[in-house]
Amino acid sequence: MGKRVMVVDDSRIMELQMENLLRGTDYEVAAYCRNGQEAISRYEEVMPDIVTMDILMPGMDGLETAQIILEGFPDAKILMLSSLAYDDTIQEATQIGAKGFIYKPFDQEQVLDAFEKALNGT
Amino acid sequence: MDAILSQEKLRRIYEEAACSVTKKLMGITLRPGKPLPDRNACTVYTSFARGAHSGFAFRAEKSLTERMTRNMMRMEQVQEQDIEDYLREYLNVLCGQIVAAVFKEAKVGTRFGIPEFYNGSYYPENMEKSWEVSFLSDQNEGAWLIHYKALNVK
Repeated sequence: MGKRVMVVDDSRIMELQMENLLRGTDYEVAAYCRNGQEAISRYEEVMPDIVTMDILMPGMDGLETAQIILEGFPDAKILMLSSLAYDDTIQEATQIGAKGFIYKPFDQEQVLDAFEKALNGT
Repeated sequence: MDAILSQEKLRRIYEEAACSVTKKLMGITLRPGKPLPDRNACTVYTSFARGAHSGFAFRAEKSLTERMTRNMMRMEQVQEQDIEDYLREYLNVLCGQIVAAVFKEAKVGTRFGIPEFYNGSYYPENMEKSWEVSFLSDQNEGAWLIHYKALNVK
């Protein structure tokens, strides 16, 4: 069985894109959550190996959601996935314990590389 | 954002971001040009906040938005909802590139809101058009990037 990925993004595009991109790899989309609240309530049930977390979402944003998940599950491997790629966002994400950043637009190589780094702690 | 960078610099950032994102995501070439005004079009809009207080719209002819969506989805047939979802995602990526470029130039961080989709044109409340840049696609379809500033910002 592949490593399980939880995709947290308000856009269904990201679910489709991630499914296409992970097809034939060691990863699979195990859960898709449309907002931060749903991700928080489903994390324990899904217990994914990796979470990809959009930053810009209606209601609770991705940084706040990641922070809450990490308070309950400090070993969670959360990668922030966003088009907001500038220094103070990266700093904020790192401070709350995110394991990395994937910038949109991305390709398969970038995503798999970020997953490996997050899982191996490099 | 007008207060952060000169209009000329902002225009250049917008133009470069639109051309590179459209090419990378959809394989479609945009070049600066003068399309016929407001043929059958749709618009995606977002507002910038935190150091910017401005708005930003991407408007494009429907035939172009359909082609953009088909290319992104790699499918021949697309639905209205697909076009809406993909254009919102397109603007999201485009704004990210713009914000990153502005940060690189001016060291000012900006955030933007969740993109909204409109059929036809859209005129945001309490904003006025500051400037626009227009493009023609590789099939001569029109597209416009429109920058708005808040009415109370001088």
